[in-house]
Amino acid sequence: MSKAKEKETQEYLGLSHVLNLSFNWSAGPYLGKWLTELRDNGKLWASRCPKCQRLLLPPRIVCGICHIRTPEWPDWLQLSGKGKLLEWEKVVAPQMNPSTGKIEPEPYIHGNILLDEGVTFQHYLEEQDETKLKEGTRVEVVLKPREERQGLVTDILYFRIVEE
Amino acid sequence: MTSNTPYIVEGRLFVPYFNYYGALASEFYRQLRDHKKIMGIKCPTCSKVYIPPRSTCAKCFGNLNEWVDVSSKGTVTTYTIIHYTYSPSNQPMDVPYACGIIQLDRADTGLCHLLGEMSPDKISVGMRVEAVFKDQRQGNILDIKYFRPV
Repeated sequence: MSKAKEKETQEYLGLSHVLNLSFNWSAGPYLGKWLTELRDNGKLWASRCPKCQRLLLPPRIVCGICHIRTPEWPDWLQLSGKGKLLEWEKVVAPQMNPSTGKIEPEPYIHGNILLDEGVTFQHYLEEQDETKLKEGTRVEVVLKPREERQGLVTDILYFRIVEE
Repeated sequence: MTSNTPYIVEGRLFVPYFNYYGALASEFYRQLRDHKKIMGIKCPTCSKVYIPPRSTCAKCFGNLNEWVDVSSKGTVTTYTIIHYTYSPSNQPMDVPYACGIIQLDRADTGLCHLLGEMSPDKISVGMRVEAVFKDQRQGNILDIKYFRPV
């Protein structure tokens, strides 16, 4: 057998592993309140920087630009969940969910939405037909039913097109 | 006011993966699995024999490609006794068990492996040991079950 042939037929060995770790993390007072409000009351909130007036979604304790404290809940702004589509992308690359080890279904469409209150938010879109999407399309948030919500950002199912 | 109770998110990582040994180590494990042979790799310049194999000599930086069959017998150069169960599914034996570095005959580097068929208090530096191979070998370092005294 020639050297090249030998190289082709050589069996490469390796080891299979499963990295399986469970861990808890504290979401902190602001993100924790935001997630529990989403889960329990189905409400979306954003905090506003008292200095530069921009909205922070999800709310943060300190404005990243002005470096000053933002007000605590309930001095947050409740969002309508409606807005317009700024841009979107069709994700075709198969990706593994790191919490289950399974490959997520693809393709799916992921959008960047400008909410009516003036803050952007990124999430999945319900519409899978790209020809029905254009910049400025009106969309609204759709949540999972109350009993299926887990207090995670995935409690938001997707944004769907609204006819107005 | 926000609640004083922290909101705890339950996280989990579950990532299956596979890592290849590479060309040299694959040959090492194939020989171990198929022929119960422990192979070293010899430096053509300084004649140092490495086990497990590597592609570059650490002493003279020469490229290594000459395989040599090292003995399955050797000498214990150092050892430790494990008394503590820290991860039952990842530990190869029930405690107490011994782990040592074995200098195989015709090799110039030590191999770290388990020491079996001997009472932990009877192990000594310099004792002669030989490899015991598993019947069902899968191409990993535990195809050698352990080293026992000769």
